[in-house]
Amino acid sequence: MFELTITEDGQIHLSGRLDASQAESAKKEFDKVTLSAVVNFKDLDYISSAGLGILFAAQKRLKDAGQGLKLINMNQHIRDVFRYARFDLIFEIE
Amino acid sequence: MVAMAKKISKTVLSRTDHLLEVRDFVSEAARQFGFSEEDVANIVLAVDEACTNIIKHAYQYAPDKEINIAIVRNNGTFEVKIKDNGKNFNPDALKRPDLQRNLTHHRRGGLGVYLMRKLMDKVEYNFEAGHSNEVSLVKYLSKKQSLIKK
Repeated sequence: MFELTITEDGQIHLSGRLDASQAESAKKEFDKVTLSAVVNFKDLDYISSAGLGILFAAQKRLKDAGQGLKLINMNQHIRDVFRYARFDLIFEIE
Repeated sequence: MVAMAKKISKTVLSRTDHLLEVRDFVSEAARQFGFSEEDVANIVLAVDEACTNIIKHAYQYAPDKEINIAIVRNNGTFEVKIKDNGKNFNPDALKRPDLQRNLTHHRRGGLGVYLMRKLMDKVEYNFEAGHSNEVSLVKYLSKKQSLIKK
């Protein structure tokens, strides 16, 4: 199960597990994002390369338009996975 | 006394909605073996990436094929053998992704295979041309973890 919600303060809140089974629905949701935003990982338990790919594509599209995603509240494992993939170089991670 | 290798296995259909079941199967076995939570998470992700590659490349999203996951535990070695009967797919034949170039040029090919190699101690592929593929993912229990286990 994966869920993406927009909170009252405009943050993109991710929860559940973002694997290949959820990639299509996640892509549809991220395609709707057109301006810079903060993505809150607090309740995201798991991500695989399928999920990384969705975020990568969204960041590329937004950067090309002068916007970007900032990622916050990752658990240690997800933070490590971003580092292994060197995605810490293309996202601002707090 | 010679220690016997312990083997358990599971077969699932080639659909991404079975990935959670595979992850639960592997995480339970890895945890029981004595790995830290960090290592359990790394092994689980590597297996997920291998199964996702099979669904995507070997079976090309055909939902009714089989993936067999066998876990062999022997002394300090934890091996996950993942077998399919799909199209031969040899990531070793592919060029390793140049992550810096991918980032510069906004490409992301080969990330799953790259992560598998990064997260595990050994990754090997075996093929029977036209018949089956098997990927072996190995993680060694550290001496420190072995002592805690005892």
